[in-house]
Amino acid sequence: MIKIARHIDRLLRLVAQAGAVAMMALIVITMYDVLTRYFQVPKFPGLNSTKLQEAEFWSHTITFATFIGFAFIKNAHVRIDLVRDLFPWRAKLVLELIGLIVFLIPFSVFGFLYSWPYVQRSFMSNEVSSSTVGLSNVWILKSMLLVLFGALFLAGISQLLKCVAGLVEAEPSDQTRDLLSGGHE
Amino acid sequence: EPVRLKMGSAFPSSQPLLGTGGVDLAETVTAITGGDVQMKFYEPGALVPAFELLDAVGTGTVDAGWAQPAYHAKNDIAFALFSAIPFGPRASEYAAWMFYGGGSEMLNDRLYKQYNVHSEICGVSPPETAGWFREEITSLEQMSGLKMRFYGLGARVMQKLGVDTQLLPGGDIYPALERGTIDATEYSMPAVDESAGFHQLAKFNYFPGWHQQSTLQDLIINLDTWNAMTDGQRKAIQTACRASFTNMLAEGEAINGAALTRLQEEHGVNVRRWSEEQLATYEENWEAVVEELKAESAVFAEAWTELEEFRAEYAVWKENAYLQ
Amino acid sequence: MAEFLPLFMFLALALFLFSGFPVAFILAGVGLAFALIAIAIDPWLFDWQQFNAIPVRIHGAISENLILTAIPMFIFMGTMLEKSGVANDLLNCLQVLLKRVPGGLALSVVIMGTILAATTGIIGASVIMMSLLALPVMMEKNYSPALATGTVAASGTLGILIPPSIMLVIMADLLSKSVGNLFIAALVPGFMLASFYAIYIIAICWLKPELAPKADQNTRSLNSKELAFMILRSFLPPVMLIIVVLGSILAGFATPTEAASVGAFGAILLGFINLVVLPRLGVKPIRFAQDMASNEGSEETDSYRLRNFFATIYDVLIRSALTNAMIFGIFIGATLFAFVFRQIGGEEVVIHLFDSMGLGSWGVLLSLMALVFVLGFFFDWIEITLIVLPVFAPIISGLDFGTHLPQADVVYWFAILMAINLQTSFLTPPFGFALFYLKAVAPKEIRIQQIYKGIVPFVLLQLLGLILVIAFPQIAMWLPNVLLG
Ligand code: NA
Ligand code: NA
Repeated sequence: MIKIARHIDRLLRLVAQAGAVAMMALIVITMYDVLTRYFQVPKFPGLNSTKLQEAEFWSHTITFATFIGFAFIKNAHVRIDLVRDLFPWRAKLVLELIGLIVFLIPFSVFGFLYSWPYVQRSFMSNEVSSSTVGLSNVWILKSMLLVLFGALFLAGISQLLKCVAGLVEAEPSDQTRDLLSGGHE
Repeated sequence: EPVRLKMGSAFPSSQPLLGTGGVDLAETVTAITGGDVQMKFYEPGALVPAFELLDAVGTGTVDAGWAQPAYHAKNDIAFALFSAIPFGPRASEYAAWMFYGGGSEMLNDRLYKQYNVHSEICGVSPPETAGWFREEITSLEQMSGLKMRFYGLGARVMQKLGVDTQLLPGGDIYPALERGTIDATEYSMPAVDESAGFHQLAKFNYFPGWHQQSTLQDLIINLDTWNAMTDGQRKAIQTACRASFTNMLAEGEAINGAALTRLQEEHGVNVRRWSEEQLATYEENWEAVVEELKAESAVFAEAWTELEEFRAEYAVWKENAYLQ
Repeated sequence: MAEFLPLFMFLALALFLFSGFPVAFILAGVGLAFALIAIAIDPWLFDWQQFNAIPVRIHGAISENLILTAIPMFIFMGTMLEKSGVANDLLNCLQVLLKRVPGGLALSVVIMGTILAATTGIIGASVIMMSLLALPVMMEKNYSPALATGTVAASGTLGILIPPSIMLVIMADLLSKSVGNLFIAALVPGFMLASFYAIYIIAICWLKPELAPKADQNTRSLNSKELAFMILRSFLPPVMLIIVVLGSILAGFATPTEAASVGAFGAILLGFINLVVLPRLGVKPIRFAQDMASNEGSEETDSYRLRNFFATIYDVLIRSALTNAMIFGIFIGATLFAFVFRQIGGEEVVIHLFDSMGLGSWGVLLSLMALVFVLGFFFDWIEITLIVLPVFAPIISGLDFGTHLPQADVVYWFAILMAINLQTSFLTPPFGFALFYLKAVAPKEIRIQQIYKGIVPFVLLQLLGLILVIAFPQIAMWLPNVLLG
C-alpha cells in the first residue's frame, strides 16, 4: 500500500515541478510586460499587453493547480490543530481518515466531475478570452481545473493509504509521524 | 406553482441605470405577478462572476442573468452585434430591429439557444462617451501605443488605430486607470462615469460615442426554466422587460444633461468632440473590421446582412419622416 | 427546518475546523455536505446543476484574476530575501539600529509592516513576507512567541487599511464613492493604528523585559565605520527594493502585480549579490558573535557559488509555490462554502435578524459594526464586503448623525470604520486569514494557541482605534477635507 502511495507522491512531485517552472515564467512574463510598458523594450510581433497579462494569470493558474494536491502530501495546508494535539496518535489517524473520506475526496470528485463538462463546453464553443483580443483556446486554461482536482484526488488517496497503513502499526513509524506533523511541509 | 429566479448581475446595484435597472426589474416582476415569479437580484460575483453568466445560466447554476449580450462575445463575436454597434442604430431604430425586424429571434435562435439560454431584451442605455483621456487628443496618431479599456466591437476598431485595448469589468477600471495599467478608458454615459470618478484621473472627455450610440441590455434565463413556466409567467416577464426598456430609455436621457454640466462646471472636465475627419477615420477602420468579423463568425455574417437590409429599409422612413 | 440551515452550516464549520483537518477542505467539505442536505430538504434551495458553480467560480474569480497573481510573486520576493540571507542581514541591522529601544526587533517589524502596507493591499503577501523575514529571527532571539506572532500578524494586516488597498477600491465601487477620497481618508487612521502598535510594544517591553530580550546582550559593539558599512551593505539594498516597489505603486507608475514582479526580480538580484558576488570579493557579512559559525569555506569556486545560487532559486520556487497553494486552497474552499451559504438563504437570515430590531442611526451604525465584527470571526473581508455593503448601502447613506459629522461625510466615515473593523477580522480566531497565513510559514515550534494568545492585545488596540474614529470622525475626514475642500 505504501508503495502505491509513494508512486502517487512521485507523480505529484513531477507535476508540481512543472508548476514551479510556471511560477518562474510568471515572474519573467510580468517583468517583460513591465519592461515593454515603461522602458520601451519592443514586443514580439503579434503580442499585445492584454495577451501578456493573460499569460500571467495562465502561469499563476498552472502554479496553484499543480501545487494544491502536492501541498497536501507535503502537509503544507493550514490546520487548526488546537484540539487535535490533545489526542493520541491513533485517534489523529482516525480523524484524518474521516476528513479524507468526508471532506477532501468527495470535494475532489465533485470538482473533477463538474469541471469536465465545463472544459468541454469551452472547447466546443472555441472560447476566447473575455477581452476578445487576448489569448484564445481558453479550454486549456480551464482544463487546469482537471489537473487541480485530479491531483487533489490522488493526494487524498495517497494519504488515505498512509493512514490505513499507520493504523495497523504498533508504534507510529516515521511515515506516520510525518503524516501527523500538521500544518508544515 | 410559483417560480423562483436567482438572477446574477454583471453590474452592481449601486450603479445608476445599468445596475438599478436590474434591481427594478427583479422588484417589478415579483410585484406584478403577486409573487408567482419571485426574482432576486444578486450582486456581480456574489453567485457567479460577470463574464461567466452565459455558462452559469445555461447550466442552471443560476436561473437568470442581468448583463448585455456582448458580455458573451468570448463564445461568439456575433453576440456583440446585439449589444452595441459602431456607427450603428440609435435606441429607437435598434428596438425596431430587435422587436419587429427579427433581431431578437435571431439572437435567441442562432446564438443563445445552443447555450440553453433564453434572452429578453430588457433595457437600453443612451449614447456613451467616446472615452476619457489624460491628455488632449488632437490627432488620432496619438492613439498608437495607448493602453485603453474598450468594450465590444469598438475595441477592434481601436486596435486598428494601434491602441492596445482590454476589457475590464466596471469596478476594475478606476484602479487600473489610477495605477497606469491603462492610459485611457471608455465606460458608459456621463451619469455612470461620474459616479465611477474617472474625472479625477483624466480631464479630457470625448464625444460622440461612435462605438456605442445605444447599448442593449438583456435578461437571460435558463431555457429549461423558461420553457417550464406558464404562459402567464412568461408574459409577465416579457411585459416587465418592455417596461424596463422604456424606463431605462427615459431615465438615461433624463440624467445625463445634469451630469455632463456637473462634470464640466464642478470637476473641470474638458468636453471635446471628434472632428468629422476623425469620425470618418474611425468609420473606415470599422468597415475593415466588419469584413474580418464576417470571416470569423458565420452568425455575424448572417446577422450583419439582415441588419443592413433592415437599416436600408428604415433609412427611407427616417430620411422622410424626421427633421434632419 | 430549512430556515435554520445557514445557522447549522456555520456551527458545522466552527465545529469541524477544530478537527485539525486542513481548513481549505473543511470549508469545501462543509459546503458540499450542506448543498447535499439542501437538495434532500428542498430542491428549490439547491439542485445538482448548481455544483457547476465550482469550476465557474474558480475560473472566473480566481484563475482569471490579474490582481491575485501578485500574491505568489510577493511570496517569492519574501522567501528569496529570506533564503539568500538578505532579510536576515536587514533585520540584524534594524535591530542594531533600534537596540536601545525596548522590544527593538518587534518595533522594527511594525516599521517594516507599515512600509509594506504602503506597497500593497494584499494582506496574505504582507503577513507571509513579514513572517518569513522576522519570525525566525525573533524566535532565535528568544522573543515571546505570542508577542512575536501578534506583532507580525497585526503589522501585516495594516495593508488592508493603508493605501493602496484593494478592499477600499471595492468598497468605493459598491458605495459609488471616489476611491481617491477613500484612500486619503484611510491614511491617518492607518498610521494611527501603526503608532498604537509601536507605543504598545515599547510600553509592554519596558514593563516586562523578559518578553523581548535585548539584542545587545550578545552583540559585540560596532564602531562607527563598521556601522556605516553595515547600513550600506545590509540595510540599504533591501530598503531600496522596498522603496522601488512602494514608490512605483504610490506614484501610479505600476500595478501591484507589476511591482511584485519587480520586487521578485530585485530579490533574485540581491540574492545573486549576496550568494555569488560578495563571497567572490571576499566580503564577509558582519554578524553577531554567535552567528559566526557560517558555512563559508575558502575552497568555494565560482561554479559552486553559481550552483548554490540556482539551487536556492529552485528551492525558493518550490517553497513559495507550496505557500501559494495553501492560500489558494482556502480561496477555493471558501468560494464553494460562500456559494452554498448564499444559495440556502444565509444572506436573508442575516438581514432578517437585522430588520427585526428597529434602531436609530446610532443603533444601526453600532449594530452593523458589531455584526461585521462577529462575521469577521468566520468570513474574510471580500465575503463580508460583498454581503453586508450592498445590502446596507442605501441605509448607510440615509443615516443622520446631526452635528457629529456633515451628511456628505457619512458614507466615507462609515467605509473607514468598516475597513478598520475588517482589518480586525483578519486577526480574530477561529477564522482569521492573517493567522492562517502566519501559521503556514511560521517556524515549526510556534503553535496556533500562541498565535491566538498573541493577537489579543492587538485586537484590543484595533477596537480602541475603531472607537476613536467613531467618537472623532475628524481622524478620518480631516485630511480629505483639507486636501479636497
Ligand atoms: Na495597502
Ligand atoms: Na476573523
